[in-house]
Amino acid sequence: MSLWSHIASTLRNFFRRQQVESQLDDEVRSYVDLIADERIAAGMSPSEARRTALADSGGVEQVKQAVRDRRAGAGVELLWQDARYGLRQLWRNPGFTVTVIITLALSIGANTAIFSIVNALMLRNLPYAHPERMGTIFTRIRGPIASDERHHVNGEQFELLRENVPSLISAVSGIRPSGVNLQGGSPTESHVQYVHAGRISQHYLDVLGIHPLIGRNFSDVEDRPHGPRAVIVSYALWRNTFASRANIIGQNILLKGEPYTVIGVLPDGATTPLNADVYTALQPAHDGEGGGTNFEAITRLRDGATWQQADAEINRAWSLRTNRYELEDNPGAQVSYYSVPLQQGQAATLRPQALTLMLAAGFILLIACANLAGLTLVRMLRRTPEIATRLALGASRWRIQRQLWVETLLLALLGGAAGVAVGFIALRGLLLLLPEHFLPIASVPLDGRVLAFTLVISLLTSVLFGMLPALTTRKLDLRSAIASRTATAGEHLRLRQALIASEVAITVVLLAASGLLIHTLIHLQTLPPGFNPPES
Amino acid sequence: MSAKQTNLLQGTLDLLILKTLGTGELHGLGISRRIEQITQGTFVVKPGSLFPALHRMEEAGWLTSFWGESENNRRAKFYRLTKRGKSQMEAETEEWTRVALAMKNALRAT
Repeated sequence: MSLWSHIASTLRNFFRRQQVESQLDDEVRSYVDLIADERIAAGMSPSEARRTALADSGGVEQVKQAVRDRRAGAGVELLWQDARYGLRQLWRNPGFTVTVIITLALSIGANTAIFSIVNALMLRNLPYAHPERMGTIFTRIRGPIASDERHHVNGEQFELLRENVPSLISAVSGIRPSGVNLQGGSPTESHVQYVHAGRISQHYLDVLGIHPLIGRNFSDVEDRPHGPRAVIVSYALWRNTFASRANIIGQNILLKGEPYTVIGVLPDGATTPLNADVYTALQPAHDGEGGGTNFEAITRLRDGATWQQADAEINRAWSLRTNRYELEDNPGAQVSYYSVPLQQGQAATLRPQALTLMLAAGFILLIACANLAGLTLVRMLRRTPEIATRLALGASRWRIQRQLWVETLLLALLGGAAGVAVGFIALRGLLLLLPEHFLPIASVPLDGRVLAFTLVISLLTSVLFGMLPALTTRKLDLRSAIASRTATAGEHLRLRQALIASEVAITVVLLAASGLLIHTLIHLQTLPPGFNPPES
Repeated sequence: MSAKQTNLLQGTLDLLILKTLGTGELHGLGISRRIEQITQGTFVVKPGSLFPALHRMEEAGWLTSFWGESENNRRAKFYRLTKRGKSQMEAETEEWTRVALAMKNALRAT
């Protein structure tokens, strides 16, 4: 059978049911009438002719049902019937339905929110051109004190990187943006605005693959120590504060009271790891700020080069340094450097937290499933008479099973949909709670991947909490269920008690585990930094 | 009705319907009568199996249907072979002949 004509027939059977049905009715009736006509012509009385014709053809309704059972999309139609019946059942038990949906919404919502962060941090492509060619540099130290992490770099390291590593375009930025007051340059504009200022070196935007919408990038001169003061502003700031004026280029604005010349505007939607409103030239030097490791490096592989080449060049260049701070408190250590994809490098510090949270959220979902399994089990026992009646009336066990699964699935999908809403709100809340610029990304969207994740965990929960009740009805003894109406045999009761007991046990274990995970997280966040931070 | 009726083998009904429609369009009762006639009463097709088969074959695109007038001026649904139905008939006829010959030889061998 060709797939297309099957699909077309399914759609027609489904959406033009009335027409299909009335045509079927006409057809079968005309068949019976034709036989009756012949018999009347042969001398039978009209009523007798009709009666025998109907009897011989096996009944109009039966024939129609036979056609319905075999036509395209019959399975879909049955599913639709089950779904409608299931919805009515849920509607008739609002207490149960609401409890399940709220439980699911909260647990699925928590998972959705946390997965969005994991997704934005680790799975989504960075919002730059060819993110796979972007990297950062990790330092691996083997010796008495071993470590393997992203180090900040000093001025000398950056200079060597820029001059002696031809495979890479390298750039550095200040470690995080700082809050500054911005004032429109002209004396008439007294409006002062608090903005985030990031400091970036000359080729920083080239590494990110961002070209200013208007104006230009920092030049060699501006990035030199004591060079002229220049600033590049973000699109949002340009639009909101400078009313999208094109003549902003070349104008002076005041940052911390000092004049800077605007030389460029970033394009709409362009973001940087610093996620600042204005960018000034870093002007890296060997001494002063550049004497310590105060810069964060990012790199982009040049066309035709490989990461292996780049790593070899970095190791060669950085071994020539006069100031090898890695060896200061760690004499005899072996130090090597290697490139890491930028996303991985940026998420490295947040990875344990995010994954811990994800695990904790997963446990919460399992607890919810365990509780819902208990709840649905009790509900299923209440419905034993109904199920027994349906079985007695000739419904197949498969049909009953399917009905129960469809109901579970409906609940899970409703819970999932509510979960997306809860997740959205929870995510906003979570992002508000986190310190500003805590995440090295501009936005945490609920994208297709997050929605797909939510759908999958909804389906998974439906299996988890629907399995137990569905299994118990499989062994339903029809005679005793009909006879006793409510209570079932003692053996079943023991089984159920065992199930409920193990469920409670599992819940306690899960609760303890997720509690411990959250404790770990708090511990990670409040580790003593090793110095007394100044009171802010 | 014929005294001796044989149960239709799986797949036989489709081929018989295609065959009867090969000579021209017919309505449901016509198809059923014609099958009875060309098999000399060996197969009697009840509407309970005829109509599901007709609808299934129409959904598969082997047949098309239209409403027309029967010999005694009653409205009836007629079926006609499509191009795809015709090639299906040829393919199934070939297959059937092959199987029938093989069965015949097999039964003769023992």
